[in-house]
Amino acid sequence: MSRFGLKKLLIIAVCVLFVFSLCSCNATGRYEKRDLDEKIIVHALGVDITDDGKYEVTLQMLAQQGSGSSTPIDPSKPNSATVSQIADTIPAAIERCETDLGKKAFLGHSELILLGKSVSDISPVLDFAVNTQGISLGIFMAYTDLTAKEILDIKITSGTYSAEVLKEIFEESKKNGTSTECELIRHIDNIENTNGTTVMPIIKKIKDNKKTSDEEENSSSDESFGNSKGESSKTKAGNEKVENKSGKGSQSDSSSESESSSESESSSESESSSQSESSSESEGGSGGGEESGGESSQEAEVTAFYIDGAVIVKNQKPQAVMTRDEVIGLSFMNNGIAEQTINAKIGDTLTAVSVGSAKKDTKVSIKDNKIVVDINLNLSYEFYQTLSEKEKKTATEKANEHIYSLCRKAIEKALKKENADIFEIHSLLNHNDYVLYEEYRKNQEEVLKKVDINIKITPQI
Amino acid sequence: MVILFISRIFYSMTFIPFKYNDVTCQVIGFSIATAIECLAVIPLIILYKKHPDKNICQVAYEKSKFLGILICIAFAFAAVLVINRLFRYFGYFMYLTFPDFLPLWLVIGAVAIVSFYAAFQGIEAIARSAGIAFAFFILSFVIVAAALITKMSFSNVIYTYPKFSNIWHEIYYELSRFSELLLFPILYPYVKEKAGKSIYGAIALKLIFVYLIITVCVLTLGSYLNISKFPFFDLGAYAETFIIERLDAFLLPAWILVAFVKTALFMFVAKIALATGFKRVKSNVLLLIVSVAALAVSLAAVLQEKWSFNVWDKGVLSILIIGLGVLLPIAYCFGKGDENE
Amino acid sequence: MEGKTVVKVNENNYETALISKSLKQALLDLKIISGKTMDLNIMEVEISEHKCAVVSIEGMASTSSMAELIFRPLMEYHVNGYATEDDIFNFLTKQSLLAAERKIQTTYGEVFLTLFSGFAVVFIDGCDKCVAYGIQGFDKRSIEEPTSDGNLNGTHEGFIDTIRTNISLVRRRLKTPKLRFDMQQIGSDSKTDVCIAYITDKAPQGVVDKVKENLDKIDLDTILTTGYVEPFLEGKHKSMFSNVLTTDRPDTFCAKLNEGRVGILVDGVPLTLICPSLFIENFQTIDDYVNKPFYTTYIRWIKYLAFFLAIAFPGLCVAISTNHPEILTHKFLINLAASEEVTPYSFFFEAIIITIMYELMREAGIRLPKAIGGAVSIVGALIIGDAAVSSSLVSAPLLIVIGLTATASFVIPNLNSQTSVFRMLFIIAGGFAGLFGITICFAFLLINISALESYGVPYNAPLSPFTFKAMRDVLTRPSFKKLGRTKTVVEDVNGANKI
Repeated sequence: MSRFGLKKLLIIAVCVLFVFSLCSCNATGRYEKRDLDEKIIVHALGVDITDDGKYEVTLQMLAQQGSGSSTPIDPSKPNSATVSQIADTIPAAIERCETDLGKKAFLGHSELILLGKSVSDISPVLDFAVNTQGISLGIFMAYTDLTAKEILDIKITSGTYSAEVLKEIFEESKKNGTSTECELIRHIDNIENTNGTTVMPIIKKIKDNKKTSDEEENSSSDESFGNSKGESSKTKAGNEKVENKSGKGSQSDSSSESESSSESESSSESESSSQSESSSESEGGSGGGEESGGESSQEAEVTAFYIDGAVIVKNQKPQAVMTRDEVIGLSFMNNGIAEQTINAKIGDTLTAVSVGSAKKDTKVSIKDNKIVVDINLNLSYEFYQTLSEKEKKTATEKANEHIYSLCRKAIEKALKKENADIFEIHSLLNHNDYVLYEEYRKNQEEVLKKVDINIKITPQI
Repeated sequence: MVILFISRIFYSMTFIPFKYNDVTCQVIGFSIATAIECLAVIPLIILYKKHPDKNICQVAYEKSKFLGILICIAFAFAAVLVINRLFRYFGYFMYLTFPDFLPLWLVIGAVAIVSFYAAFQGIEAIARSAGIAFAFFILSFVIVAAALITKMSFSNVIYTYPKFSNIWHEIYYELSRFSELLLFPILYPYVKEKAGKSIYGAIALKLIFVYLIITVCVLTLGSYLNISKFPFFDLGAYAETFIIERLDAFLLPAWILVAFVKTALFMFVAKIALATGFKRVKSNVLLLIVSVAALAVSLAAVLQEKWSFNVWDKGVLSILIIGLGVLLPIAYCFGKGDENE
Repeated sequence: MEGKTVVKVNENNYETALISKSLKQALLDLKIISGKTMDLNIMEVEISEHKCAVVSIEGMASTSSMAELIFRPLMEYHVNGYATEDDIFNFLTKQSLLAAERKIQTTYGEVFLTLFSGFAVVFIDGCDKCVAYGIQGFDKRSIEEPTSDGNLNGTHEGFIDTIRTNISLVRRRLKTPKLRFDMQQIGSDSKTDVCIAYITDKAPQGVVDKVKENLDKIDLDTILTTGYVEPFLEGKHKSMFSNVLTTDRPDTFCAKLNEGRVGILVDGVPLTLICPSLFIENFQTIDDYVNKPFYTTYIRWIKYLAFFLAIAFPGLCVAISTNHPEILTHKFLINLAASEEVTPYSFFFEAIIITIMYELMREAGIRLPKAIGGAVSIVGALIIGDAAVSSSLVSAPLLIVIGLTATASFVIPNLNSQTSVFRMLFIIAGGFAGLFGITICFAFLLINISALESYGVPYNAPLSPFTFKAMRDVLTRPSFKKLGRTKTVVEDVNGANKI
């Protein structure tokens, strides 16, 4: 009898639970279940800092351009839109975006956190990324030399949305060494190990005719990384004014109005923020608010970005910019390169040599109060032209020289000039000499000053 | 019968969300703790050889009725504490990883009901479910590890010098979680294999799995471990396959299954212990009482969001584990021997 | 004594009542007991000047065999002068072979049982016994292809409704004297023949006894189909799954007998029961043993996948899309989100609607006559397939999911009822509580299966408790060369309790 009674009791309990769950789940509140169409599927997250120190968060999200129910997404059109808001903290800004759209942001699938050059301290961003439930550890994190908003606003047609293209560009660049590791977890790993040092690649926008003078521009824009105070007071005023306007417009007015206001905002903003690059406003995305998917508002492009150089972050603050060459050298030393084509001159002809990393040996030794790190790179070569043995040898030597110079450049810049541990020295010390590692933990700067890196390149043909 | 399976399975589970303070300390502390555990089960095995078909409560009850009842209640009490801790842990995990998911009381209530149902169906149902849950756990672990294999790197390993206090803490922490010691004395009459074999098999398996998990975590996550709360789940969040973008929610089912098996086992133990002590009451009524008690205690804690170790876990449970799992078998091994002469 | 019988015999107490010596009284008794039912044929006749009567039930006994085997020999029988009742009785029982089956009966109970089984009964005046001859001639279905358990390569004979024919079908395939058939009648009114079949040195005696014991416990008026018997064989655990396998194929039946199982044949249904049976056996078909092992192995895995899909796929989809969208790959997610954008209801609710629609269609397809059944599929294809999507009522991905699920459930027809219900449960659980709900449901399912025991053998046997040796035929299918060398029978799996 008791058996039977228990069974009944169990059934009743299940029923009660079920009813309660129905009630609690349907009640609007914390546990409200949201369907997919009530979520903003965020592709990428852009973070800028306004002149008064607030965060401007830009969300690039799905806004499908399809025709009818059978083809909900038309890949020939840009299927994304952006929304941005300003608040004191990143979560607050996101929440304001959510309120604007009346949907909940779903960050679980964002692929990129883009930091505008005005971001002077990455620790709040990292904190946010780590502690927000749903953000993947594999999310890419990179800097841009413009504002994040500008980059995310660009409409492109080669992929479904621009963050996807960016991610693919990252992955491709990582193979040929022009980009460093940029997954969130690797940044955190580096920062944990080295008291806040890491390297983040820089995304740039392709400009119409000024591509040749990239490097000069870089150096000229170096100073403004993480330093929004350097901008002119006129810009500040303009920004503030427009931002306020846009905030009001998108919250209270109809969508068409908000569109126009945000358009004016972004164009004026790009004008003001691009002291060094004056040509960008023509393509600068016009999408502030929700409605930026309209085709007429701007031209969509096939490609719009490239990766050029990287920012050295030290003590969680952007410190210096590495050029493209330096980044390639760094990649050779750190994680290896799948394939990088290097031009070598044999006599008068120019040959292309494809270089890939095969093996890396490292050794740490102490000589005359100096910590000497010997890195022996084994590289494999492939030639695109038929060459004689001798020619091959010369080509290899030339390529070796080139790579050596790249590596040296990276060492000079990062280690000698900035004294930043981006060569995994902490790990080398830890694995080879524990006493030194302890010292490194205690006094990183001093130890790093003593470090010398020797590069030796062994070719494998 | 398949108790070997069971013990294996929850061993593995207990360690999934391990607190990371220091890999080296953890490995050393864990190894030492395991060695101690191996020693601690010896009296149990001797007891098993003496009374292969009687659990410890029955032995105690036959010797002295009052003491027997007391021991039975102690066992049930310990089981309630263990379930309570498990639920709190589980609640904490759900609270952190899936915060807007379901009300916590519902989550825990559902696990409790399923566990109750399992305990109600008896040890064999639990054992067989455990077998499948174990297979599921291994499968998900292997998938996650395989998905991460390209992301593993030795440069992520950072050695540290172990500190004594840390090791000591680790040993203590590990031993206080050795609640399986409570299961053996009650469940061994159901074991069809040799008791020693199944116990040591379980301990060995636990050791292997913990080492495996630590290895994978360290190789992939690197220093991110220092700030991670549930490293095993971060593994899942980081793993990526071409069908499934993230595997952390994929690990959730494995974790729930394992949690449910463990809860069910302890409910069953409490039921058996109480049934020995109170022969007049129907055993399923006792089971209901235990389950409701455990659920109520845990809910009270969970709803107030008190997750951390409390006095009950640290002190009382440890004492109970040592008392019931080690001292009692010793007493009966040697005490009984004298009486027989 | 005769007087007593006249008073006593009626339809309630006839079973043990002795047959009256007087033919007149006996025939009267028959009429009283049967309430003068119109299908009772009584033909009074004088054999060698002694009064006799041949009684049969219309339509049950073959008229031609009756004329050939009973009337003619009886009419040709002559004794010099007046034949006594003993002469005739001796002639009928000892000096002639009138039919293949002959029974001597003393009570009305026996008489009616044989009559209703198609026997002809000869009553002799002055004799308190009568003789029954098996000349059954009722119409029955001829042996046809098995319908429920389609196969390409197995036998094309299926069991039919008559138990004797079925027994012959089994006997023809197993010509060993160790194959035993134990017949018993169950059902206080229907008196249905239920036959236990087993091979003596293969089936454990404990299981056979237990089956008999369970059958004896049946206390029902009628047994019309196997479903009446099944619950009594299943044992005390209340599970959604059945540890009794149903088949209408003689080859499967024989294969299982050969593995040491006990088979139960029930008269009146073309289905047979086999116990103990295991969960895994729902995935095994006789075709598996015809095809090459590599192909069978492949198909088996497909079937396991099908079971998983049939039970959990819609639930998982709902759970993931509503609660854990991060699991999906990004492209998939945005496609899903884009198609969800236009539909009025949530994914969860849509899934419920479509599943119910599907069940409706399926049930309609089974119950309707075959000619109209086709129309159901047209309507289904039109409504669900086309209109629902083009009117943006349901999203297209969901249709694919449900379509796949439905197809998957056709692969394992034995478990259809369980998969249908669990599918719905999983959808609801997944919608409300995501993967957590799915897991809780799964745990429930797991316990439900695990608690089931089939005559001492755990229902989910070779999986858990794990038996490596028995897993050969679960994960793969060994060739018969290997199967012949080492035999595994169900009782050998881990965790089996000998009974």
